[in-house]
Amino acid sequence: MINFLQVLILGLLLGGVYALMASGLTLLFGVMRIVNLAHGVFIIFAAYLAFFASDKLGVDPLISIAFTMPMMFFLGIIIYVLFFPRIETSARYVEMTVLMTFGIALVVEGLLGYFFTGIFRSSRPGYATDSIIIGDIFIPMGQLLALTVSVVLLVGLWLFLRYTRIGTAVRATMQNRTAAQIVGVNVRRISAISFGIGMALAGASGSLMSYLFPFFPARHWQWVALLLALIVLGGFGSLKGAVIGALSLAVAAAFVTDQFGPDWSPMTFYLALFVILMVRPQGLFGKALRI
Amino acid sequence: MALLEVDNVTAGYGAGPDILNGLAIEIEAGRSHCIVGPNGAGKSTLLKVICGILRPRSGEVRFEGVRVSGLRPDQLLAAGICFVPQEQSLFSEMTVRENLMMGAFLVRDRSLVAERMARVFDMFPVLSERSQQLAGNLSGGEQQMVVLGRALMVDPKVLMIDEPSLGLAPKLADQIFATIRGFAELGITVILVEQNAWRGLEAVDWGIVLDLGAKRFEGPAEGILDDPRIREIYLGSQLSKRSEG
Repeated sequence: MINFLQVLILGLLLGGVYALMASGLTLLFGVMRIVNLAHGVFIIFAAYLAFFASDKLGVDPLISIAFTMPMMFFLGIIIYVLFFPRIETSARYVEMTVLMTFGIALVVEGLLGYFFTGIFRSSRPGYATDSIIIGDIFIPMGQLLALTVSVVLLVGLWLFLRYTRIGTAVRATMQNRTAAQIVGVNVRRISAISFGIGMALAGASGSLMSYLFPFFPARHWQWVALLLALIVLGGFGSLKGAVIGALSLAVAAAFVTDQFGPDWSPMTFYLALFVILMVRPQGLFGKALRI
Repeated sequence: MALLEVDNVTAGYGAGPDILNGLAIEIEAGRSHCIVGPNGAGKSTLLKVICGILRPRSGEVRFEGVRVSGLRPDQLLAAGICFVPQEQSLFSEMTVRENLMMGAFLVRDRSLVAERMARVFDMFPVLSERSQQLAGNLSGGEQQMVVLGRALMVDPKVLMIDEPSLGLAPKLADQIFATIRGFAELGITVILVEQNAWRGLEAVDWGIVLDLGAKRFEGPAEGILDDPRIREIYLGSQLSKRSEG
């Protein structure tokens, strides 16, 4: 029983961080139908920013969120404006976004490898090795803090979407782009802002990654595959789905690790991906895709 | 001067052929218009050009004497041109009230929004009963009312409606056409596109007949269907379809 609880808690701690990482990806798809294969590489890019800030300037990884988020927000707006309006009218728009972001991912990976080499990196703030012990349950401090940050940011995102004017326009665009346009939403501006927000979420995720998960440039493929799997489970474009997909798959992976060893853990995600595609291709909370 | 002038407009989609071929029409303020014509005449394309979703390849659209073709849909909406498309245009995961509020997205004056909301509920009492329900869960007729109510929240000068009766039972369609007449009485200039020419013309003052992307003729809605040229256009397109098939 204790072991069950312990594994569940470790799974949920990880799941919260996965949810934050996936939220940006699902937001981009929801608003703009962009399948962003470069999401993982941007998380890693932000992780490098946080790592060097910590290594060279002694900035705490959690504090680094204060600059990784705005920097990535503006980078996102620049990337959107440079690349995406051109393909907007393409008849094969969704496929084009896959190719485009695949290309962006390769280029950024190459640049990261050139400038920062392929060495594994990880920050080591004091709390990364701390833990709390309650009875027989062990809670790693670093993951607890990361979960707290993720929850705060996700709740913040939800409040923003629910209660602000721009957030309302973002939701309207997600639900029906044409309808948003005809009630006077400037959908291109909303798309640029959404891309920025998605990238800002990748920025915060990168700050957390810098001390939670050792990284090097090519690691992003593994991450984006994992994030796509849990988004497919939750339903592409659904934020609620991303959170539930992240929590359930992280818990499932924690139990697989406990039973069969960590080598089998990544398989949980792909197995879930195959099953969900066969049983319910639109995911738990997704609508059947209309193009 | 006409309120809205479509001047020698040519337009089409992507790299496809021209759907509109040098179309010229004038829309008079305060009058309600129905655009009729066989399938492929360019009726929906015309509305998309006017509201800014589709840019003309040549020619221009003028609103109140000023060139507006090339503006974005949100800019045209701010100018007073509102479009209700044929395809489903609800925010299905928002409540009825939220949908209506979206119609006033560009209006920041809250008392004005409340005033317009009251006018919508006055016109569609059933929407006030359903205001907290998700729009996606309403019946087809009620959904169409939400869309028209949302257009009323915009309080446009020109309201363009594409095929409002599509897929509705005759009784519901009657109700929708009555609503459209109501809009005209509020002083809104209506442009209606309707496949069912007879029903559409019944709801408006003025009929404009399109064929092959150009205007064939126009006149008072009453009696336009008796014009012998109508027979020729509709029958002509039927015949050419048969010979193609």
